[in-house]
Amino acid sequence: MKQKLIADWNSFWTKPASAKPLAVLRIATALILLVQAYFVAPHFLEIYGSDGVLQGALRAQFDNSPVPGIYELANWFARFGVTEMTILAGLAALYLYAVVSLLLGRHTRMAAVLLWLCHVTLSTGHVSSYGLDTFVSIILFYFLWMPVGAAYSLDVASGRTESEPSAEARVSLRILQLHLSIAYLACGLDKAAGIQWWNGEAIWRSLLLPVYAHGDFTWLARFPLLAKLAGWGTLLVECGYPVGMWFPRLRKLTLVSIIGLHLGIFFFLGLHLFALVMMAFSFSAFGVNAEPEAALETEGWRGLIPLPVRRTLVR
Amino acid sequence: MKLRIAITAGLLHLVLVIIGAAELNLPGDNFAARAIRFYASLSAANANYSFFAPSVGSPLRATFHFTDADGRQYSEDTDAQAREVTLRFGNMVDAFRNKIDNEPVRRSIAASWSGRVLAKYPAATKVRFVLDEYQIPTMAEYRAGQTMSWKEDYVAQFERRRKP
Repeated sequence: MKQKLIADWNSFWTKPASAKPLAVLRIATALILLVQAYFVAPHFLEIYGSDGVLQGALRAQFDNSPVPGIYELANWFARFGVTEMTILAGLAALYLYAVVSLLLGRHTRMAAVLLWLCHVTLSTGHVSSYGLDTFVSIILFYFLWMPVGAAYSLDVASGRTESEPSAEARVSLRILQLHLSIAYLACGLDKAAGIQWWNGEAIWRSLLLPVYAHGDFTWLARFPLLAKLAGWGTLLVECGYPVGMWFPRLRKLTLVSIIGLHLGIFFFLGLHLFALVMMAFSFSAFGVNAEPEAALETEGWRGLIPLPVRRTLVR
Repeated sequence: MKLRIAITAGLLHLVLVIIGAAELNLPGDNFAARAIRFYASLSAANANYSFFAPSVGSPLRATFHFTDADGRQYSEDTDAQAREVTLRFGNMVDAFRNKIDNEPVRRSIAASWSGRVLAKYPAATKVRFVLDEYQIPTMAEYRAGQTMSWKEDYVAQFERRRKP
């Protein structure tokens, strides 16, 4: 019994896996960040510059992060006569270079380090940051350590990186899967703690917020049961995520449900990039097959969760 | 051995993720506690996931009303940008709510933002900064005839400094 548990534990964490799911997340994240850069670029100085919306030292009023941000960086470089404009221009250039390198998988590790540094400097503790920045920070931090360049990359094409299935890829995938499970459960439980998600008012309010609203949803007031069901559905999908994703029979349904939820956020709340990054995160962690091709040929398709080694041997 | 270290480090990281998700604060102010807090912030392991939770609040909107030397008036609000930019400006507007008890800071934010926007309109001599909160009735109230409205939350007025 004890030996079986140890074998299952080892298989869970170290059975060699393909790096394809990690590569899919790398490519999707880089594409989303490029789109974000396109929209934010015209307002870059307004948001981050000391002549922007929050001028001078006022910016420090809202930064409660222990991590130094753009304000501290600019102050530090000012001692050497480097202007804030130079710092911002340099950061923007580095950011774009790193995003494109990450997208192509060219010197992937270096690109991941550069991009993470730029992102942390710009967004950690910044007053303009929102949920998208939080999840991008989480993902980019993982990119520092995970073999995200071991598939679909120029590094593999040029022979700089091996694309063989590895235990490192499996450990990485498990960390991503567990992190997502914690995040959705926390999000669902937080929602369940308020009355608005039970009586449908949260759905009603979300759809009417002028910042997010896409269309006129005032008709919903005539069908409160519909809003209530949508609220319950959201709670079920988010709280059920850590259960559904880990049971092979429920995984596809859970994945489709969570993607559906984020499509709703995309179309009805207009949180486009946030919804895309969340879909990419869940899809790559749970929807992209990580099993080595040889194993698939012998085992066949058994859903997205790898069968324990023990069962494969019995067959 | 290397893998064991990686798995252990990963699990410890996930413990911090759980602490962050549960919105718990790490106690203590010694070096170790500060180092862990720094790491959690750097890795975003301290993130909480309270999106639209536990309830959906009322958003704020900042509007700038300009008057030029001839008395002409025009306006600009923070929602009239690309969605990504609107969301970021929206967070900045929310900074007002977070500083509700600190009038000097609210006034400074209003002045800072107004100054920035005023720079885009060289003919304008005055700017009136208005912060509104969107009021959404419940579904039952809406059926009973109440409607959505903007409620004025904060107003500040600034004039362009005359050149000597």
